[in-house]
Amino acid sequence: MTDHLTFEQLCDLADGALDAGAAAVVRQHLTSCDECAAQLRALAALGDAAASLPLSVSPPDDLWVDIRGQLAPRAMAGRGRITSWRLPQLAAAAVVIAVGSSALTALVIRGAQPHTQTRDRIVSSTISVPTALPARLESAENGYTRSINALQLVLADRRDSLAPSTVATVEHSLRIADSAIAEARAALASDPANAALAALFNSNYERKIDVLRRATELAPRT
Amino acid sequence: MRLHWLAAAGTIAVTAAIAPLAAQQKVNVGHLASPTVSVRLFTAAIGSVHVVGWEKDSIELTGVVPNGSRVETSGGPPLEAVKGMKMFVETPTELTGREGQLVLKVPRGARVWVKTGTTDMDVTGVTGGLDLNVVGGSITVHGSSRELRAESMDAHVIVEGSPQWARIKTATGNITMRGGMDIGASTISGTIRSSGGDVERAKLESTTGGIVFASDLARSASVELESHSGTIEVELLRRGDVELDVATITGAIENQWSKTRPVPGREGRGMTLTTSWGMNSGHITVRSFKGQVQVRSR
Amino acid sequence: MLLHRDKRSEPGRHHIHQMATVLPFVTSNLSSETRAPTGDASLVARAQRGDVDAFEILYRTHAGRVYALCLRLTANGTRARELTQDVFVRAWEALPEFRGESNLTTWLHRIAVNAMLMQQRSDKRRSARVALADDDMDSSDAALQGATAPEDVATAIDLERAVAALPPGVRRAFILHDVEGYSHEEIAQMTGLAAGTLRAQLHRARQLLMRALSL
Repeated sequence: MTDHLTFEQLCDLADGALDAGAAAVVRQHLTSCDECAAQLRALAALGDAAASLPLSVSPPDDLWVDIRGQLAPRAMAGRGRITSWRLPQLAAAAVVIAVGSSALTALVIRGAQPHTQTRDRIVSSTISVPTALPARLESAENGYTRSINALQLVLADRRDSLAPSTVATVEHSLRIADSAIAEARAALASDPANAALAALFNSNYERKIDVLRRATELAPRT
Repeated sequence: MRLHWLAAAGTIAVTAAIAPLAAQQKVNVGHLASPTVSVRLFTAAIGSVHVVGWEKDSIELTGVVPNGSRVETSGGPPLEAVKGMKMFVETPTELTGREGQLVLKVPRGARVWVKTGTTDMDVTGVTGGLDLNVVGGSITVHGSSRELRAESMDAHVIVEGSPQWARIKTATGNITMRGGMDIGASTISGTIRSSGGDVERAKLESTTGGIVFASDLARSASVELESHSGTIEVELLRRGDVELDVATITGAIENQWSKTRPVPGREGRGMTLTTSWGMNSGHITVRSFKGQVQVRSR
Repeated sequence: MLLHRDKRSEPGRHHIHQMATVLPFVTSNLSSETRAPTGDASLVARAQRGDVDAFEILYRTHAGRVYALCLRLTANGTRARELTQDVFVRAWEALPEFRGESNLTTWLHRIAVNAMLMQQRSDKRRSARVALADDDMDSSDAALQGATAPEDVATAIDLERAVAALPPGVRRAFILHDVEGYSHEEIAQMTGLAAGTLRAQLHRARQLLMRALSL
């Protein structure tokens, strides 16, 4: 072969799309053509770079709140009602949701397991006094609370597999976070338009969720 | 280039290795690797993990682990450089203490991911990417990787180099940054200290832990410092080119850097301080709920 | 030597935690990629029965993979957010029909590609500008003019910028094949494109990128 290989041939070789005969011909050409060999190396470099790109990118933190707002309740045929186990507690949502996240978790878990021994769970013991929040913050807090509840359920299942010292660290951190959240919440009740205070309030929640998330990702015996 | 391996791929029974030392066994695994290889090391709690970036085109995992441990690696055909490799070190379940030591050598440009329990980990000479996850113990990073992520529960994290991008998270562990360009550090009750570097962007936040920011600022730097109740200390060059915006909800502000006095905040609660020097090319925002904020010269 | 790697056997892929619109700054976290979600099947089953909390855990586990694809397909942060939102709302609606024939990420990616195609067809009906596969092929290199790499940006950022500047169909082929690692057959199923068209788009993407990156 005296002519150069086409770009398509090089791509097909790189993708394993040539049959054995065609591949052999192409490879033979490459042994004696520096230009084509260089182009194949460049193609490989592009492939390496593409394969090294991150496959995952964190979406904006508040995206779940928007998604959650669009999820229609699912009524399964033959069951006739939303099967979320939180529904009975949500009937008192106007009061319950205003309570701090740790208290909600305790209430929901007890409600969901009336006949079973309450599982040990990694939750703080602080129970906040309900105070009204501006609507936008209440909406954000609802989202945080749901995330926290979901994570705490996962963590409760894994608690026994974690080292006691790790459990103690997590619980200690959650208590600190809950205390800060409660203080910020109380301050917001009397100063609802304070943007800096709202930011601090949100940050406290986000750090709490981050600790919970990381705790759910710990390997057993750590 | 010298290669050591027990198997190119698949499970390796460390019990078949060289004569065990007391209650420990040697680990000796290696493979040819591309310069930007991605390496993942999962290990149970172990005494120490050392990650070293070297000039060779290979990965090498050596050390000693407790008797009865299993070491598994993914690999590839011998004499072919892998672009990715996973290694698992599983210690016997009845062990409660930290035993053993692992040394992982990788090409300098590698991307290294390590997840372990409680261990003392140090990293040297890796310029690609680092993603380090420990529960307790410590993490110390030397050198300037392009990206650094380190997460722990109560392990202290110390970064001696100047990563271009760093995100450090702990629950109770302290965070010490001695360099960096884009820094994110978050803790519940640990302390955060940032010094040196040429910071372009930084966000340091805690719930109750203290924060000290004493880093040099790049042009147009943007820094946010936030704590619920920890003391925040900002140390600025006497004639630093920066604008400072501080607000607390109930905490006090003390300014020894400029002549501007803090004033009471909204409705008499807390305090605010806005002060600047130079062309204001850098901007520092400080927010505290009830912690004290101190601004001074360095 | 294979340029294309099966994504399922590719270790070391990593997770970006923060990435601004159209990728002027790339950051990465290596950890989440191998965080195999424990109990995905049970979470799916619960979500199929209407458990929103279970769906949220599925969201938090898979959102990063979906958002990354949406970001690269749209090359626009706002549209990527909208598309990601659309994907998960559609996924919630379609979840009762999910039988686990593919892994959940692949299923979500398929929804993303379909949603993107539907949006493009909707755009075409509203606009005189038509972006057909052939038009993508005829696009001049004007799409990449100005997509030069800033001096202080790493190779990955250069590549991300160059990919973002590709014509949509060509970009889609490259992202799904060379970045995400889907096979020609899988991409054909996702997009409805003929194998020959897909192959041509992929080759064109590589040519344009190699030129832009001076490879």
